[in-house]
Amino acid sequence: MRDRQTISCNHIEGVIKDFSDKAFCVLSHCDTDKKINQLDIMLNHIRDNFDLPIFLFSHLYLPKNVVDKVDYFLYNSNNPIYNLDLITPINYALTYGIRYDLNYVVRRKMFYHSYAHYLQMFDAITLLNNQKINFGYLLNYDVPLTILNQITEYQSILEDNFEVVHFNYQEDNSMSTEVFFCKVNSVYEKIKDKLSIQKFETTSGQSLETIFKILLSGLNFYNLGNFGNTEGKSYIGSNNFDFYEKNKVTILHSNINDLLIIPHSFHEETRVISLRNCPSPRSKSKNIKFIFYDENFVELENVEKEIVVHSSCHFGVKKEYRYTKLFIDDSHEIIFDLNDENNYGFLEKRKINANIRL
Amino acid sequence: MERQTITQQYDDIKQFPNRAILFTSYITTEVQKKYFLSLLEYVKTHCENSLIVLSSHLSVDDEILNYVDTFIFSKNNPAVNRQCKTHESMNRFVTVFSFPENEEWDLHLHRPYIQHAYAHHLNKYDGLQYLKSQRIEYAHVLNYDLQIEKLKELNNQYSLMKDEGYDLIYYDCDTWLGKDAMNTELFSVRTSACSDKLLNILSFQEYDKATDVVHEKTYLNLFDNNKKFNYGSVNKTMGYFRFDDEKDTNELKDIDLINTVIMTNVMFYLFTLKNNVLNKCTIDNEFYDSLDVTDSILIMHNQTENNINVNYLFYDENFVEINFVKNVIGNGTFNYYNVSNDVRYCKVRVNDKDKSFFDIRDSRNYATVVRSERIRA
Repeated sequence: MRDRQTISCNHIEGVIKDFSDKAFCVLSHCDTDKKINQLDIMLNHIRDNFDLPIFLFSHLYLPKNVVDKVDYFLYNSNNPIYNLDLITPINYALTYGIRYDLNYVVRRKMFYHSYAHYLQMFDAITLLNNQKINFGYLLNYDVPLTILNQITEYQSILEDNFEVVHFNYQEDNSMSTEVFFCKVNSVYEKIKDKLSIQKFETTSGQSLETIFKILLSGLNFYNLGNFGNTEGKSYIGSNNFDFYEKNKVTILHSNINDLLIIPHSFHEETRVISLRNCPSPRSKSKNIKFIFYDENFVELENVEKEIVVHSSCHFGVKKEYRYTKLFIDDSHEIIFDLNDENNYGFLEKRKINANIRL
Repeated sequence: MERQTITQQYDDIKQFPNRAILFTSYITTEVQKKYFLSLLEYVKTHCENSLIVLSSHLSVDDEILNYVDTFIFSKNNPAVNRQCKTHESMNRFVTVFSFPENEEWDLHLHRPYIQHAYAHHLNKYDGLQYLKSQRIEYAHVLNYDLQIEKLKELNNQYSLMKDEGYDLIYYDCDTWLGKDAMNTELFSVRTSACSDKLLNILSFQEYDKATDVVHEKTYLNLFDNNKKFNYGSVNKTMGYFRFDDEKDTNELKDIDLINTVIMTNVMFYLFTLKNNVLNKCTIDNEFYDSLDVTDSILIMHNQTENNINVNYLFYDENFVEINFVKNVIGNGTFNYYNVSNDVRYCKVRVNDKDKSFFDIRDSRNYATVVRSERIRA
């Protein structure tokens, strides 16, 4: 028996209560009350159904009433985003693209959270290993609670000589990182020296799902197949991994709920915002609305359009418009500065085999 | 050494530093929070290129999190001889109060010492393990309430570790614990020096096996093979707050076990002479099960430099107050009070502040009494 953290013990009566050899790790990124509420529901569900410790991880503050529900909470303020905080030789050219016309594609740097997400997984595995916990159930805060109904089955697979139990992801040699079950020490031994971005980028993979699987090479994996109707895509959870504040002027995210938004033609008389409603297992037709403001936030115009899945559209934007607020299906998503060139992409002549992520 | 990346602009890389300030905290009042914020402000502005990590058994406000890079919250906060007890811990006495029974015999009161040493260790274990996993070598480990003057010594301690190769920089406790103890409110340590012993102690069983009665001696033992630098003596505490400091409320509402050290330099015992007078002190469950918790006596021993005003408020089963007793205890003296068998609960108020609210009929509150023949010169 491994000596884990003691909760209470009375050696005189021979009664000892210590941390279990299994634990839940909930990885969260909750920037709205709605998401915090979703996390809260998950924590309540775990507490009500399992007598196992809960470890919670976040790059954002969480309210005390949420933190007090878990056994461990680790807040790490460092949340570096690719192409915002991290410009690396390997990933600097990572872009999203939208076809503009027959000859041109609109491109903009793709913001990507793979390393930030990985840091949460690194912290989770390390903390569990330091607590001498044998089995870790790692899940994002927004995955369906029904996954937890099968925990006993996943645990028995782990005990049957497998080290990682995971759902399918669409790329070769990859695994879903939204939820997986593992033998903690086996995973720890593989990633313990892979902390910096340089070490993280040593694999041939580009998506987190591929990089992580390659980092764990040599372990015994059990692939559960596609989760639900995800078709192996990384959409088990219900939310994007946002990093912006909705009520402040902020840098434009490159992808909001499967909607690509790329302003371009910054120096032209009429600027353009190109959008594409990307296909995904959860995608649907979207009602898009922009409200444009001057520099004093006086409303000047609003435009609205329905965009079906797979289709693109382009809005002309007058140069005197300073700010814009984007709504998707009447839900306010973001405010950004139309005079900030960092929010803009560029037009590129179409070529075959371009690194297009649609 | 490659550590966690913060930013990278091609070849311009910023990563976690190799030095950290590891705070441990237990903040229950606004006054404590305000003081801690002043400390955080100080280290933020005076300790350049240091990661600020906070390890706590209580969750903290956003105001505090604004200052820290990493926060580790661990809810489990077990006290020794409350949640965690072994035969050894129950019989490891820190305070003994002796007084004459008559011309021939003396009585000695013993009670298992409730302490937070293991819980303190868990905070440090979590923080130091985190730093080690982040490959951070130099750590300053501090309590949240340290006197701000002490922070001025951190940069020098960092140099001693980094430039002169010391593993541990510590302060003596010679004025109150003698030699061979280190003050655990502030020390600086290389995380690699913690690997052999400190970071191998996780369970209470492991901690209890390593303990040398007090946390300060235990911790120094954990570095016995390391290169140590003694930074000199300090007074009894380097902390700004004491556990008897003013709380947001002075009123205790919940029943709890008696803490023998009811406030600094004031000891408080509940006992009975009915059936628990022993020749030799050995405490086990049988003792508590057999105790007749009637004809009880309270003793308070004032070792402060001043007189103290003590009130005992007695309540019945339904928490109806039925007696109120006032006393003044001179410095260096003690008060002996016989409790009526009609009362159930007692609240102890010292200098107008509630210090304890306990069940008189709970055997776990009772001290054992050892009778010994008086030794004459």
